[in-house]
Amino acid sequence: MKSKLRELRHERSWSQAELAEMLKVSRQTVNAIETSKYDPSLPLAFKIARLFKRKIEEVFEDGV
Amino acid sequence: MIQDCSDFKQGPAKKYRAGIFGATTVYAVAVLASVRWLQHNPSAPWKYGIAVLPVLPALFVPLAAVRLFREMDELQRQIQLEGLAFGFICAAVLTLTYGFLQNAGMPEVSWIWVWPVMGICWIIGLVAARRRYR
Repeated sequence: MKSKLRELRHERSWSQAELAEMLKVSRQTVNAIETSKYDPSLPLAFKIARLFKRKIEEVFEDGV
Repeated sequence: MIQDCSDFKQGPAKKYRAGIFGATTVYAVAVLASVRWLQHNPSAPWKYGIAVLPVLPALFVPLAAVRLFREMDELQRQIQLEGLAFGFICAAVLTLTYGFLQNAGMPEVSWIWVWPVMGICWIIGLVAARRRYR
């Protein structure tokens, strides 16, 4: 699954560590989502979308 | 259980390490006391109870590990799960293989070595899983 997480994070000038703290996850988790190595659970995906005030499909693409 | 959550929730990991350190210290003291006592009282009726006494502080470890596991984030939990799954299966295959080799005449090995084998396999699995999500 592709995500626009890195793009959205850069828009706000947040570091991975800062975003991780806001989401209550590890920095490694943020990095793994940004690099498409890990697909977040639905609750975490919603949390990310809410944080950036976007719809979930505006942040994540299923890549089909 | 080893946790590398970098900047995430250092609290639970720190508490876990402190708990493990405490349990290990009590365990070491219990092992020394139990061995010494058994050397001086080899035929006491309650010698089996004294021999397993060090297990009591060791029981704290699985409880602390489960608590830490529940406090991890979802990726850290997945990494641990992959590491543990690899360690469990790998140790099962290795110990079973050696069991068959013993039937063919290889020297008998104490059961106490099962855990170190499992631990090493778990660490290998954990390192591989961490690399996968790096």
